[in-house]
Amino acid sequence: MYDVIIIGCGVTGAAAARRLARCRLKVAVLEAQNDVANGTTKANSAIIHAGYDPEPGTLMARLNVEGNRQMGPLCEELDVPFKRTGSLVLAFSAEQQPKLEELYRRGTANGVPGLQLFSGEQARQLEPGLSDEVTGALLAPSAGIVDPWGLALALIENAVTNGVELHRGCPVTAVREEKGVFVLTTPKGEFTARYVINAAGVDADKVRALLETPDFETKPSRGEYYLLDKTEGKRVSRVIFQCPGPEGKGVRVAPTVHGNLLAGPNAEPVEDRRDLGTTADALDFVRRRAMQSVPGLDLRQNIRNFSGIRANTGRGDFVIEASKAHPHWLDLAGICSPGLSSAPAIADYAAELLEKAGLTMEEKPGFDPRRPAVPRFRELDPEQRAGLIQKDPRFGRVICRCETVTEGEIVAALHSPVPACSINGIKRRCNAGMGRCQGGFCGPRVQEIIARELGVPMTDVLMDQDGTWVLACETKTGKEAH
Amino acid sequence: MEKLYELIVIGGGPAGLAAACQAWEKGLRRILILERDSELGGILNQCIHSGFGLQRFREELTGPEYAGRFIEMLADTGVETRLDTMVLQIVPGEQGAPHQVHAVSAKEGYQVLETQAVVLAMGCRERTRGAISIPGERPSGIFTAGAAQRYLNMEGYMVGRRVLILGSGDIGLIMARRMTLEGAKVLACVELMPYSGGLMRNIVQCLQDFDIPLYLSHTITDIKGHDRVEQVTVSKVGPDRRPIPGTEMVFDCDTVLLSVGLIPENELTRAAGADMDRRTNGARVYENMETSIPGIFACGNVVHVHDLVDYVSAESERAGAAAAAYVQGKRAEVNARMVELKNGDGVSYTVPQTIRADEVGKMVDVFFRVNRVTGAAAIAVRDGEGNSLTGFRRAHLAPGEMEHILLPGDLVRQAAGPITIAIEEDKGGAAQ
Amino acid sequence: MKELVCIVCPRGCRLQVDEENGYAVTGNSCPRGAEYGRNELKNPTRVLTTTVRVTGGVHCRLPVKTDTAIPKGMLFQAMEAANAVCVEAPVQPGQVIIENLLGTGANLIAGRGIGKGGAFPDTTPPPLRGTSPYTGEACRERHSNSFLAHRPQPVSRPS
Repeated sequence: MYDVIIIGCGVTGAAAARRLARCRLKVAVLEAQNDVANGTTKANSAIIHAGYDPEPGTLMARLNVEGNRQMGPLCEELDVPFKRTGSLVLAFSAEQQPKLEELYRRGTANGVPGLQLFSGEQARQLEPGLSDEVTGALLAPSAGIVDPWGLALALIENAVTNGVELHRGCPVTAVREEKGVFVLTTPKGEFTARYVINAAGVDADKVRALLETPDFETKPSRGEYYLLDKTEGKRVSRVIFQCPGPEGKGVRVAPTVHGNLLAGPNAEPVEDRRDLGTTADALDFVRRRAMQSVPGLDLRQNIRNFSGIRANTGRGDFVIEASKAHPHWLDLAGICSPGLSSAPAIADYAAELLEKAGLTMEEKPGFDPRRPAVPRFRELDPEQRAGLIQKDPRFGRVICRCETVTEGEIVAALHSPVPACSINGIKRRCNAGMGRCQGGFCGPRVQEIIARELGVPMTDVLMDQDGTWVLACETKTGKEAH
Repeated sequence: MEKLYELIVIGGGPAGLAAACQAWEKGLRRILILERDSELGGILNQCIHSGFGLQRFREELTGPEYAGRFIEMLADTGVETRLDTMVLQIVPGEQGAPHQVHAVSAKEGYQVLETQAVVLAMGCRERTRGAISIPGERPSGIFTAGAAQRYLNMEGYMVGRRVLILGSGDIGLIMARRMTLEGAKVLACVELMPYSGGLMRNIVQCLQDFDIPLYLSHTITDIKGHDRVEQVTVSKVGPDRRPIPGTEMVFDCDTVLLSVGLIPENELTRAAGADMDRRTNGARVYENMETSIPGIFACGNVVHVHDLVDYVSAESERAGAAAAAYVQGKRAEVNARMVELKNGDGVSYTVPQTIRADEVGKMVDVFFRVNRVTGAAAIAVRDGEGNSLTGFRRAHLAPGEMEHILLPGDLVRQAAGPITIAIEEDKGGAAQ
Repeated sequence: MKELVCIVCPRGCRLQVDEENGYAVTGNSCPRGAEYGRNELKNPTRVLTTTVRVTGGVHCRLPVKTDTAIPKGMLFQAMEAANAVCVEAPVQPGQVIIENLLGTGANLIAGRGIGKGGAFPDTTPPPLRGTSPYTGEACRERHSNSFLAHRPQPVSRPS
């Protein structure tokens, strides 16, 4: 029996897990997929919002600003790439000017530090790449960029190191409450817990429905992106927004912590929650909007398009509340933007609500807040590189040429507290295959290393989630995957 | 710091091998090849089909056989090689000082090597799905043709059973045949342009031999499959290359191979500060394959994408010889007279981009590609005032086939202003 | 009159073969083109390039080719023969793998040499299992990857 089971290991579930790992509690995280952070956490704008956008008084407003405040020290502790770049919201006409002023007022009410209104000219001085059409801008110095996947991974790794159990490939298929204890059915058997946190992302409504009729419904909204090569990475140095309009928070252009440039997203309602496709029309929209902000953008340097699903609920705010009929069941639902920015604050708030519901939250003395990341060879100086190779020659074998990722890093990712189990799992943990050749060269080599380290045949190694087989069979023998 | 090399060659594929052999031949004795793979030969090792070496060896060799010839030649020299070694950075020497090459390997650790000359021979990489923004989902089962070729020919794995190929470049065509022979069903080869990007002979022996349809002026407009590719939609495109609604064809398949072009791999070159050509995506080079950085030469697919390895070898031998001459003290005048080669009508790029008039010998090799398919045509070479310098005739020109002309050195030396190379199509076949 | 593209060399000459007049070939730039044109209509042949299995070498597949062209209609039969073969390293370049393949008179020969070797190049340390090379810590949750579902279930660790 667990004290708390968290369903879902995106950034929200991972943050909750790490928060609870501070306490003397028996905690398990059940993740439906074969790896963590494989939903909305892996496909979003990778932005830590300042917090001027949400309506004052909402959970979003409070948790965003608080989450933003925590992000610096948190990423420091967990060795996660994070840069407080600041952001600019652009206005392109006199009509949009009041919108900037409204955002300024909201932000000030929400407690966002350092907001400043600029003229178009001043904005271009800050960001020479901006369009001549820009008439005004709102600067939010506290906004930043993060590796969202890396953040979620670091949180759950740190939680696991501090005693939390993680079960991947473990979808919850049925829930019942017996004498104050939740019984969760999964393919790996039944799990029992006194408290449950539902952090199932876009599927939070479906998970809640296993217990009782939910009082919210996910209305998935898809957003499509361009990820540009590092040659475009310095086109802007801050996150560039446009004035929010009926089409959502609008297309943004932002550097990434890995040195690429991200442009997107649009917003389109979709029926199928798993349809992570892109369309020519939506990308065309993104292209036009991105070029409106930054006309010099060279979209021929695109290395990947992708899309992500936002877990909107139509409530206009996060749904963070206990079930009325089952007060030990806590939903963390509707975590759309600014969910990533809010994650650490959502976790704190969840802990607060659990305590209110009767859970004893006693600090655990041995908790170690630090998580050392696998060394990032590409970020080291020659002397450090030489030292690392001397310690382990595998750091001298470069596997991914585009991103300069070594065998040592890949092997480490395969034996970390939450080890990779797929080619994309390696990509997200150490960037191999993230570059301009998109794994063309290193894919087969990464696959070989995975097969070797995990002791499985090459044909068993997956690209990503279950069903994403890479190789059909061996030639000559026709030997297939197990 | 290790010993001072005369020449470091970056890349041990066909370009690097030919350059190193030639530099040895011309008298250099401290030559080092740095190769990132565990064996020499580069991409040729996975190109197991035949058709290589017809010009040089008068034989139809397979890729590994062709590489083998050069590896054997290299074995007779004292050229050093370091395998499994990745070059991370080239720091050009100031004012004729040695260049530094930073490299890394499991065996030798972090290496800072010094050399008088460098030959860049890193080859190219394949364009990916992202580069052409194919719409649809992102399941597994979408490979560049070369990656699939490596799995198939070197590692011994089939990447799928029902295959659609986008792009009719040679690797795609060759893979259509290989996958078919190994038991896969290749449903179609789809090409955006109204003409194939590959050699005619490959269309015949790789597609027609196996009744694989080639859809010209078509492209992929949707890919379905949450996990693995399940279905691909192909549409006809108009002259503007935009899909025409209503022309969709749906293919049930588990694999898409992309053969949509190659890009010279020049991250090191760019970081070293060499002048680049936006059209070739390679370094700008002079007549002797020297880049804008004195003592740093480039050859093969890192300069511009070739379709025949024999051309790569020939170009690389010129680079190797020029590097040897550089080391032996024959350096270009700082104020040498520059003759630009300009792309006239129908020409998408030339290599070299600039000729140092006083450095040219009897003949200058000029390679270029045309940007459209023509029938019989003239290649016109004119000076800055529009005067015809010389001309060449071709029965047929296509972007997929690299062209080569030899310009007499005297012509270049006497040319007034830049030289323009242009295509002048014969009208109504009346040309002589 | 039949129109063909010559595949003898990358030039791709457009040939016309006159079946009625003794297979006279025009459009060729060399004698080999004429020969190809005639053969292509009478008895089309192709050089087969493929791979065979190799054990104990630095690679597990050896590129091979027929040393002369074989009848086009026999390509798939020839593939079956090649697929059935497994050779042991070391292999010399040009080594005959199958003599007189399917009675065609062509030999299937090695396209390169393959030296003896382990599964991994010798600079690779042995596979590392169970501990992280960086942290040295024992790995947790080693076998709960879903693609390894046939492996033992994770053992719950005491809190």
